[in-house]
Amino acid sequence: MFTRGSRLFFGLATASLLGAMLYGIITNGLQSGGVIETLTGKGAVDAVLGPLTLGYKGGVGDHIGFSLLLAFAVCSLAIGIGSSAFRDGDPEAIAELANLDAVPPVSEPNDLSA
Amino acid sequence: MSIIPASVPAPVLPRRRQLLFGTMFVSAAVAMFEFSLVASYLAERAGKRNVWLTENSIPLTQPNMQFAALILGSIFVQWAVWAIARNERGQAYLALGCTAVMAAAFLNQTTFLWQRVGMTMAQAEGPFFYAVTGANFAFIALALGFILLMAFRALGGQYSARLPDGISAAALFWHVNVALYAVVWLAVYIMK
Repeated sequence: MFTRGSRLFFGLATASLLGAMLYGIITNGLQSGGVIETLTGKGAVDAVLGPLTLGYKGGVGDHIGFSLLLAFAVCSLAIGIGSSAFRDGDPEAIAELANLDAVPPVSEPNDLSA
Repeated sequence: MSIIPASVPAPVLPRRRQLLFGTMFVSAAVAMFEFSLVASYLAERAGKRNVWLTENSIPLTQPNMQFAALILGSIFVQWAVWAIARNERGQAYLALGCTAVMAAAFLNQTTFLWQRVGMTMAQAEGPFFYAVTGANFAFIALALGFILLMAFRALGGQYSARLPDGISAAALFWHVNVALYAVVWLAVYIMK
Protein backbone atom coordinates (compact mmCIF):
# COMPACT_ATOMS: atom_id res chain seq x y z
CA MET A 1 0.00 0.00 0.00
CA PHE A 2 2.74 2.43 0.98
CA THR A 3 5.40 2.92 -1.68
CA ARG A 4 9.09 2.76 -0.80
CA GLY A 5 9.69 6.48 -1.29
CA SER A 6 6.71 7.55 0.75
CA ARG A 7 7.83 5.53 3.78
CA LEU A 8 10.79 7.86 4.27
CA PHE A 9 8.48 10.87 4.48
CA PHE A 10 6.00 9.12 6.76
CA GLY A 11 8.93 8.20 9.02
CA LEU A 12 10.15 11.79 9.04
CA ALA A 13 6.62 12.99 9.83
CA THR A 14 6.28 10.61 12.77
CA ALA A 15 9.72 11.46 14.15
CA SER A 16 9.20 15.22 13.92
CA LEU A 17 5.68 14.97 15.40
CA LEU A 18 7.02 13.06 18.41
CA GLY A 19 9.91 15.53 18.56
CA ALA A 20 7.49 18.46 18.59
CA MET A 21 5.48 16.93 21.44
CA LEU A 22 8.60 16.23 23.50
CA TYR A 23 10.03 19.67 22.73
CA GLY A 24 6.77 21.31 23.76
CA ILE A 25 6.58 19.39 27.05
CA ILE A 26 10.25 19.98 27.92
CA THR A 27 10.43 23.69 27.04
CA ASN A 28 7.08 24.31 28.73
CA GLY A 29 8.43 22.60 31.86
CA LEU A 30 11.64 24.64 31.74
CA GLN A 31 9.62 27.86 31.54
CA SER A 32 7.43 26.78 34.47
CA GLY A 33 10.20 26.00 36.97
CA GLY A 34 11.55 22.62 35.93
CA VAL A 35 10.42 19.68 33.79
CA ILE A 36 10.22 17.09 36.58
CA GLU A 37 8.52 19.54 38.94
CA THR A 38 5.90 20.41 36.30
CA LEU A 39 5.23 16.80 35.30
CA THR A 40 4.87 15.63 38.90
CA GLY A 41 2.96 18.67 40.15
CA LYS A 42 -0.49 20.15 39.60
CA GLY A 43 0.29 21.38 36.08
CA ALA A 44 1.08 17.90 34.73
CA VAL A 45 -2.15 17.54 32.75
CA ASP A 46 -1.83 20.98 31.15
CA ALA A 47 1.85 20.38 30.39
CA VAL A 48 0.94 17.30 28.35
CA LEU A 49 -2.35 18.62 26.94
CA GLY A 50 -0.70 21.84 25.72
CA PRO A 51 1.47 20.27 22.98
CA LEU A 52 -1.21 17.65 22.19
CA THR A 53 -3.86 20.34 21.55
CA LEU A 54 -1.34 22.64 19.80
CA GLY A 55 -1.50 25.16 22.63
CA TYR A 56 -5.29 25.34 22.91
CA LYS A 57 -5.29 23.83 26.41
CA GLY A 58 -1.99 24.53 28.14
CA GLY A 59 1.35 25.91 27.00
CA VAL A 60 3.69 24.65 24.31
CA GLY A 61 6.89 26.18 25.65
CA ASP A 62 9.08 27.64 22.93
CA HIS A 63 6.67 28.65 20.16
CA ILE A 64 9.19 28.80 17.32
CA GLY A 65 10.80 25.41 17.86
CA PHE A 66 7.46 23.70 18.48
CA SER A 67 5.86 25.29 15.39
CA LEU A 68 8.80 24.44 13.15
CA LEU A 69 8.88 20.79 14.23
CA LEU A 70 5.13 20.55 13.78
CA ALA A 71 5.33 22.26 10.37
CA PHE A 72 8.02 19.83 9.30
CA ALA A 73 5.78 16.94 10.35
CA VAL A 74 2.84 18.35 8.35
CA CYS A 75 4.99 18.95 5.25
CA SER A 76 6.57 15.48 5.44
CA LEU A 77 3.14 13.90 5.83
CA ALA A 78 1.83 15.82 2.80
CA ILE A 79 4.82 14.82 0.66
CA GLY A 80 4.44 11.20 1.84
CA ILE A 81 0.76 11.16 0.86
CA GLY A 82 1.58 12.77 -2.51
CA SER A 83 4.41 10.34 -3.16
CA SER A 84 2.19 7.40 -2.28
CA ALA A 85 -0.70 8.71 -4.41
CA PHE A 86 1.56 9.02 -7.47
CA ARG A 87 3.22 5.65 -6.73
CA ASP A 88 6.68 7.33 -6.51
CA GLY A 89 6.37 8.28 -10.20
CA ASP A 90 6.53 4.57 -11.08
CA PRO A 91 6.64 4.10 -14.90
CA GLU A 92 4.57 0.90 -14.66
CA ALA A 93 1.74 2.85 -13.06
CA ILE A 94 2.01 5.36 -15.94
CA ALA A 95 1.82 2.52 -18.49
CA GLU A 96 -1.27 1.24 -16.71
CA LEU A 97 -2.84 4.69 -16.99
CA ALA A 98 -2.06 4.71 -20.72
CA ASN A 99 -3.65 1.24 -21.15
CA LEU A 100 -0.38 -0.32 -22.36
CA ASP A 101 1.03 -3.72 -21.40
CA ALA A 102 4.70 -2.77 -21.53
CA VAL A 103 6.39 0.28 -20.14
CA PRO A 104 7.01 2.54 -23.13
CA PRO A 105 10.11 4.68 -23.44
CA VAL A 106 9.82 8.17 -22.09
CA SER A 107 10.73 11.16 -24.21
CA GLU A 108 13.93 12.85 -23.13
CA PRO A 109 13.79 16.42 -21.90
CA ASN A 110 14.87 18.80 -24.62
CA ASP A 111 14.50 22.10 -22.84
CA LEU A 112 14.02 23.51 -19.36
CA SER A 113 10.24 23.65 -19.54
CA ALA A 114 9.41 20.48 -21.49
CA MET B 1 8.76 0.22 -51.05
CA SER B 2 8.66 0.28 -47.28
CA ILE B 3 7.25 -2.60 -45.28
CA ILE B 4 5.17 -1.92 -42.21
CA PRO B 5 6.50 -4.05 -39.32
CA ALA B 6 4.11 -6.59 -37.84
CA SER B 7 4.61 -5.28 -34.32
CA VAL B 8 4.47 -1.55 -33.90
CA PRO B 9 6.54 -0.26 -30.97
CA ALA B 10 4.70 1.39 -28.13
CA PRO B 11 4.36 5.13 -28.50
CA VAL B 12 6.75 7.36 -26.63
CA LEU B 13 5.05 8.84 -23.61
CA PRO B 14 5.70 12.40 -22.54
CA ARG B 15 7.38 12.78 -19.17
CA ARG B 16 4.76 12.74 -16.46
CA ARG B 17 4.54 13.82 -12.86
CA GLN B 18 7.94 15.53 -12.69
CA LEU B 19 6.23 18.91 -12.54
CA LEU B 20 3.79 17.63 -9.93
CA PHE B 21 6.59 16.20 -7.78
CA GLY B 22 8.62 19.39 -8.18
CA THR B 23 5.63 21.51 -7.21
CA MET B 24 5.01 19.26 -4.22
CA PHE B 25 8.52 19.89 -2.88
CA VAL B 26 8.37 23.63 -3.64
CA SER B 27 5.01 23.79 -1.86
CA ALA B 28 6.56 22.09 1.18
CA ALA B 29 9.37 24.67 1.17
CA VAL B 30 6.84 27.51 0.89
CA ALA B 31 4.85 25.99 3.75
CA MET B 32 7.92 25.71 5.97
CA PHE B 33 8.79 29.35 5.24
CA GLU B 34 5.28 30.54 6.01
CA PHE B 35 5.04 28.40 9.14
CA SER B 36 8.33 29.79 10.45
CA LEU B 37 7.03 33.34 9.95
CA VAL B 38 3.80 32.51 11.77
CA ALA B 39 5.83 30.89 14.57
CA SER B 40 7.94 34.06 14.94
CA TYR B 41 4.74 36.13 14.98
CA LEU B 42 3.19 33.96 17.71
CA ALA B 43 6.37 33.95 19.80
CA GLU B 44 6.68 37.74 19.58
CA ARG B 45 3.00 38.21 20.40
CA ALA B 46 3.26 35.93 23.43
CA GLY B 47 6.15 38.05 24.74
CA LYS B 48 4.46 41.43 24.16
CA ARG B 49 0.85 40.75 25.08
CA ASN B 50 0.46 44.13 26.81
CA VAL B 51 1.29 46.23 23.71
CA TRP B 52 0.13 43.89 20.95
CA LEU B 53 -2.52 45.50 18.71
CA THR B 54 -3.40 48.16 21.29
CA GLU B 55 -3.11 51.01 18.75
CA ASN B 56 -4.70 49.26 15.75
CA SER B 57 -7.69 47.07 15.19
CA ILE B 58 -7.91 44.40 12.51
CA PRO B 59 -11.42 44.14 11.02
CA LEU B 60 -12.68 40.66 10.25
CA THR B 61 -14.69 41.44 7.10
CA GLN B 62 -11.72 41.54 4.74
CA PRO B 63 -9.94 38.43 6.10
CA ASN B 64 -13.19 36.45 5.90
CA MET B 65 -13.88 37.63 2.36
CA GLN B 66 -10.29 36.81 1.40
CA PHE B 67 -10.77 33.31 2.74
CA ALA B 68 -14.04 32.95 0.82
CA ALA B 69 -12.34 34.12 -2.39
CA LEU B 70 -9.55 31.58 -1.94
CA ILE B 71 -11.98 28.72 -1.26
CA LEU B 72 -13.93 29.66 -4.38
CA GLY B 73 -10.62 29.71 -6.23
CA SER B 74 -9.92 26.17 -5.00
CA ILE B 75 -13.25 25.00 -6.42
CA PHE B 76 -12.58 26.74 -9.74
CA VAL B 77 -9.03 25.40 -10.11
CA GLN B 78 -10.25 21.87 -9.36
CA TRP B 79 -12.88 22.38 -12.06
CA ALA B 80 -10.02 23.25 -14.44
CA VAL B 81 -8.20 20.03 -13.51
CA TRP B 82 -11.38 18.03 -14.11
CA ALA B 83 -12.01 19.77 -17.44
CA ILE B 84 -8.50 19.42 -18.90
CA ALA B 85 -8.47 15.70 -17.98
CA ARG B 86 -11.55 15.31 -20.19
CA ASN B 87 -10.36 17.58 -23.01
CA GLU B 88 -13.09 20.09 -22.19
CA ARG B 89 -10.81 22.95 -23.15
CA GLY B 90 -13.45 25.67 -23.08
CA GLN B 91 -14.42 24.79 -19.53
CA ALA B 92 -10.76 24.60 -18.50
CA TYR B 93 -10.04 28.13 -19.77
CA LEU B 94 -13.17 29.46 -18.07
CA ALA B 95 -12.25 27.78 -14.78
CA LEU B 96 -8.67 29.05 -14.90
CA GLY B 97 -9.96 32.55 -15.65
CA CYS B 98 -12.33 32.41 -12.67
CA THR B 99 -9.46 31.26 -10.44
CA ALA B 100 -7.33 34.17 -11.64
CA VAL B 101 -10.16 36.59 -10.80
CA MET B 102 -10.39 35.13 -7.27
CA ALA B 103 -6.62 35.53 -6.84
CA ALA B 104 -6.83 39.15 -8.01
CA ALA B 105 -9.70 39.74 -5.57
CA PHE B 106 -7.59 38.33 -2.75
CA LEU B 107 -4.64 40.57 -3.61
CA ASN B 108 -6.89 43.62 -3.85
CA GLN B 109 -8.50 42.88 -0.49
CA THR B 110 -5.11 42.40 1.16
CA THR B 111 -3.88 45.85 0.13
CA PHE B 112 -7.22 47.32 1.23
CA LEU B 113 -6.87 45.59 4.62
CA TRP B 114 -3.35 46.94 5.08
CA GLN B 115 -4.69 50.47 4.48
CA ARG B 116 -7.57 49.93 6.91
CA VAL B 117 -5.31 48.59 9.68
CA GLY B 118 -2.77 51.39 9.17
CA MET B 119 0.00 49.67 11.07
CA THR B 120 3.51 51.15 10.85
CA MET B 121 6.82 49.34 10.81
CA ALA B 122 7.92 51.31 13.89
CA GLN B 123 5.35 49.49 16.04
CA ALA B 124 6.30 46.26 17.83
CA GLU B 125 3.86 44.16 15.81
CA GLY B 126 4.44 45.93 12.45
CA PRO B 127 7.37 43.92 11.00
CA PHE B 128 5.84 40.59 12.05
CA PHE B 129 2.37 41.44 10.78
CA TYR B 130 3.66 42.55 7.39
CA ALA B 131 6.12 39.65 7.15
CA VAL B 132 3.35 37.07 7.65
CA THR B 133 0.63 38.72 5.56
CA GLY B 134 3.11 40.01 2.96
CA ALA B 135 4.59 36.54 2.43
CA ASN B 136 1.09 35.16 1.97
CA PHE B 137 0.34 37.96 -0.50
CA ALA B 138 3.53 37.16 -2.44
CA PHE B 139 2.77 33.43 -2.62
CA ILE B 140 -0.78 33.98 -3.84
CA ALA B 141 0.65 36.35 -6.47
CA LEU B 142 3.07 33.54 -7.44
CA ALA B 143 0.19 31.07 -7.62
CA LEU B 144 -1.66 33.51 -9.88
CA GLY B 145 1.39 33.74 -12.12
CA PHE B 146 1.68 29.94 -12.19
CA ILE B 147 -2.01 29.60 -13.16
CA LEU B 148 -1.72 32.23 -15.90
CA LEU B 149 1.42 30.57 -17.29
CA MET B 150 -0.23 27.13 -17.33
CA ALA B 151 -3.38 28.60 -18.90
CA PHE B 152 -1.23 30.17 -21.62
CA ARG B 153 0.54 26.85 -22.26
CA ALA B 154 -2.79 25.01 -22.31
CA LEU B 155 -3.99 27.58 -24.83
CA GLY B 156 -0.95 26.67 -26.93
CA GLY B 157 -2.02 23.02 -26.84
CA GLN B 158 0.69 21.73 -24.49
CA TYR B 159 -1.77 20.38 -21.94
CA SER B 160 -4.63 18.02 -22.63
CA ALA B 161 -6.11 14.79 -21.29
CA ARG B 162 -2.89 13.05 -22.41
CA LEU B 163 -0.69 15.38 -20.36
CA PRO B 164 -2.63 17.40 -17.77
CA ASP B 165 0.29 17.77 -15.33
CA GLY B 166 0.78 21.53 -15.63
CA ILE B 167 -2.78 22.37 -14.64
CA SER B 168 -2.67 19.81 -11.79
CA ALA B 169 0.62 21.29 -10.52
CA ALA B 170 -0.80 24.83 -10.55
CA ALA B 171 -3.87 23.55 -8.70
CA LEU B 172 -1.69 21.82 -6.10
CA PHE B 173 0.28 25.04 -5.48
CA TRP B 174 -2.99 26.96 -5.17
CA HIS B 175 -4.49 24.49 -2.66
CA VAL B 176 -1.35 24.58 -0.50
CA ASN B 177 -1.46 28.37 -0.41
CA VAL B 178 -5.14 28.32 0.54
CA ALA B 179 -4.30 25.97 3.41
CA LEU B 180 -1.48 28.31 4.46
CA TYR B 181 -3.85 31.26 4.42
CA ALA B 182 -6.15 29.29 6.73
CA VAL B 183 -3.28 29.12 9.23
CA VAL B 184 -2.58 32.87 8.87
CA TRP B 185 -6.29 33.65 9.13
CA LEU B 186 -6.54 31.73 12.39
CA ALA B 187 -3.24 32.86 13.94
CA VAL B 188 -3.22 36.53 12.91
CA TYR B 189 -6.80 37.59 12.27
CA ILE B 190 -8.91 35.41 14.58
CA MET B 191 -6.66 34.71 17.60
CA LYS B 192 -5.65 38.34 17.96
